[in-house]
Amino acid sequence: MRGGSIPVLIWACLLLVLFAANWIYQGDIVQFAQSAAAVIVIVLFALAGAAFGRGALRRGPPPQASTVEGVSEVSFGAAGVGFGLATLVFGIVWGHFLIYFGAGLMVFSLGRLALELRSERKSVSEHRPPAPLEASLRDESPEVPAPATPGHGGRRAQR
Amino acid sequence: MVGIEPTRGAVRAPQGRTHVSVTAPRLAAAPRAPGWIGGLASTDHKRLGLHMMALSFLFFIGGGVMALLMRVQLAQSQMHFVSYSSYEALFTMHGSTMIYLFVTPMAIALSVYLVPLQIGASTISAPRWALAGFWIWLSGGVVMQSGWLTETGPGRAGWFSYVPLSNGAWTPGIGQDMWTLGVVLAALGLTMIAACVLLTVMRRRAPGMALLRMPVYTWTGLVSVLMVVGAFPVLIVVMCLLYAERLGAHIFTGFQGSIDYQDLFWFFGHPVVYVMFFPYLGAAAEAIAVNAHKRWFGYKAFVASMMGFSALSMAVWSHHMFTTGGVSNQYFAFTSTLLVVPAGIEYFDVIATLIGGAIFLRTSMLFALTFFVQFLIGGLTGIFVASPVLDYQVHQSYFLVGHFHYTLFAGSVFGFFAGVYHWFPKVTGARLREGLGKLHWGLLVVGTNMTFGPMFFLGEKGMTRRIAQYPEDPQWGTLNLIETIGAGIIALAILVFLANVVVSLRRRVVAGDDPWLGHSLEWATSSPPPRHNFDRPLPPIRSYAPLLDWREEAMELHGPEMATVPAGTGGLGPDPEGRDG
Amino acid sequence: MSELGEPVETSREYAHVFSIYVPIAVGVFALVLILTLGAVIVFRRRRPEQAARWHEHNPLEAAYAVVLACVVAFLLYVSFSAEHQVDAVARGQRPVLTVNVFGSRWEWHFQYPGYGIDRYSGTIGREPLVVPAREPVAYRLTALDVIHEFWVPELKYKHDLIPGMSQVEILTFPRAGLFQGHCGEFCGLYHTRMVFSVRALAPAEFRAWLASNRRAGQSGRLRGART
Repeated sequence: MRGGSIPVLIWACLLLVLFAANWIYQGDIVQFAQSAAAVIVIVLFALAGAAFGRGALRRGPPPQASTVEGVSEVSFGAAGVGFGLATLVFGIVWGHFLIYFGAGLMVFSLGRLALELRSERKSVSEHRPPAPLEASLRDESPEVPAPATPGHGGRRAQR
Repeated sequence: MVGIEPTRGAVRAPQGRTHVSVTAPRLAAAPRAPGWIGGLASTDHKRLGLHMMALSFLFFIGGGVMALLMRVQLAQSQMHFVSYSSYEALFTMHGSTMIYLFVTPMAIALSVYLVPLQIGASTISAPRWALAGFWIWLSGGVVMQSGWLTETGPGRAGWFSYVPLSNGAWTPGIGQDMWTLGVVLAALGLTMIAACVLLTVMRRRAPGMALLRMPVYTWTGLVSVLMVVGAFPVLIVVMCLLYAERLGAHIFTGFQGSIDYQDLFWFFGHPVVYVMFFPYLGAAAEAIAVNAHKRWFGYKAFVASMMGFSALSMAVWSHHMFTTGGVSNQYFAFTSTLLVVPAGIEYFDVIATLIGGAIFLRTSMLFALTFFVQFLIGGLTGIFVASPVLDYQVHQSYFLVGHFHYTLFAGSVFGFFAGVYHWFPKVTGARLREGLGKLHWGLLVVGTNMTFGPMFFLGEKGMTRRIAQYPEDPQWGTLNLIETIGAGIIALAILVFLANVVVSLRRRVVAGDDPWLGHSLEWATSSPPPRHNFDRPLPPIRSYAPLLDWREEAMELHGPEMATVPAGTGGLGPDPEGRDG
Repeated sequence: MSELGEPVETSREYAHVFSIYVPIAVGVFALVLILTLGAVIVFRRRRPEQAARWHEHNPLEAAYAVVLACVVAFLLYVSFSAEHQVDAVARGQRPVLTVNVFGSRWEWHFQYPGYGIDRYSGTIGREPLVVPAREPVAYRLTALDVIHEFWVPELKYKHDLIPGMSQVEILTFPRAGLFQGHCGEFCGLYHTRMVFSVRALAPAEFRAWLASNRRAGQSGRLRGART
């Protein structure tokens, strides 16, 4: 999370410089529109990263996280939405029955997706956190030579 | 096992996040990820990546067969092996299949598989989004290829489908419509998946994994998905507009309409070729560093040059349009020639990585080295065509065909195979055979150079592309025949590779966690990795080569024999005092 | 570089840029190949613990980047100079003759306005385009249906024919002789057959050809003729 938006923003700035030069040299409206669209999308990603985590614009390595997160194993909902959309698009050429079938599959799958997400949230909220992280690590880590000094080439990062 | 608490299917990842494994909504009594049906809807980034890689490879075989058919037709000047109509379908579908359905998706799939492992994440961001994108991409591929079954045949206006040729008047027929919509779907799917990889790098790096500690491959993957997200939506727009044009809407009218179409298309069309290059460059770079037992040289300069290279690639597109008279040739010649700077940094880095190393010539190393040498031919000929006066001669000739096949095949596909031989043990737990691998490599080098080398001479002398027959001329005939034989040798090389995969999976040689003494985090877990990637605490992350740091520290304490200790159970272990901040 | 009065020859400009780009490219390739092979041979089969630990030298790479930028500047100077000749200067020339070039699927129609001469090539014939050698001629390129491309490989030049707008290119054939030409942009089923040829005649012979082929009553005249 930390610093995640930085390379995205730097890239957007590089694009801005290049596209500004393009506008000066060429001044074509289509070229301007597509360049602007690209920069906007990239900046939106950077902003989205910043919105989801306050550290996205700060430098430094990510700290320890201690969140609980639901991770699904399968998602027939997502697969169905994708396949349904594709079927719908194919139906534009191949036949209207496919458009209806695709749309129906999409609706059904979106419903299933909603159920999946609700179930996931429920599992997460019902989860009881077990013993603290450090204790279990100390008990069960195998015997290793502990490096006495930081290795060559690496920086000691702050916790 | 270290770190796993089997509490209601919860997995505590060593990074600190606790993952609660959710198998199915409470309302449905579905069993836990049932067999292959569950596999098709799996949200595990590793399974998703593997499915995409396998399917991309199948498309590669299909596109390759199309190429072989074209090469048979061109073996002599006036062959009648295929009709003109079949030939135009073949070159259109060969290019489209290779670009939309093999090299690009394979690069993205490689990132889907590897990036979370390399940055110490347990999962990809927004896996459902990626899964939906996979199905949309795959369906796009099927829609595009199903044109072969129609009466008018599949897409036949070239893989870039210029207007007015590709409109409803000049290329009528449902097959071309399906091609257009197939491209829309494929591009949409790839964009969705790339967005997930981008978010993963932004949000799911392990503690200590600062941006400037991410491995080389991850950086190449990151700049690639930035290009996808920035440029691919424009392709979706232009193909939708093209479809409307085919239905009769007069969108691309007159001279400016043709120029606008080309502008819109190539705004996607140039970045996509860098998406088809950078991840394979990253794979080759990883293979070189590991096989030289030396960390990649000039990491910061490399990262800066990758950012510059990818940003610049978004601003060069109209070098495909130098002969139109509709764009500023100077601006685009300037940005295109400027690509020399980041490319030069990259070559400096690879040579400086080799110098002073301890080089083991494994198959992955052979492919990686050949990638760099052969790609250079493609890159240098690219600078050649970045000069408008030179491009006025070789544009749309076989010189150009040679240029882009050297970058994409002699380059990227070799980088791809370097990645395959390097990461196959991690993905499957078994090693690929070195003997068969070296045979595969040798055949591929010979075949590739035989097929694409003569193209530079043919193009410069006047052989235009996309022709099914060419003028009688002893030199042209001989060179084309050599190219056809080379294509056959390439096919043989691919068969050897497939044999290698089958043999290696049938009679397994167990690889272990870290067969090559890797540098990055994916080697610090089992082969293949468990469901949530890391079921043991991560090693301390202090640079872009954490395992190499570990080994070097251990060497200082316990002597030089620690240089060959692999990561994993029984070998180098995690940092027990938790100093991995 | 063309002196005052001498026509811009695309083949000469191409040869000039080619003679700079290609040796540089070959040199770079040879250097990288030698360094790569050399490194592999010298450092092959050492033991992993013998691998060096150094892994960066940013000042050196920064200096190298500056060198590369200078190379780029040089290449651009060469390219832009030639492009200026071929595009801007060539267009500023006074052509002795204008020929209309119509490209349509899958034939070339060459028309000499003011002389009433038409020649057809491609799927419907093989009549060559006849032009004077060593004199600038204006070609008005017009596409009648889809995008085509006028390419004469020995001239080292091609230009698109894009429907909706004619474009005039002024080209000079460097010597007398027969030159092959081909449509360069894929235009459909018989793109393969959309070929043409150009016969360049010595200026005096060309005037004779023009005189004997012109239709009666046409009032075309050559401009700025050089014998």
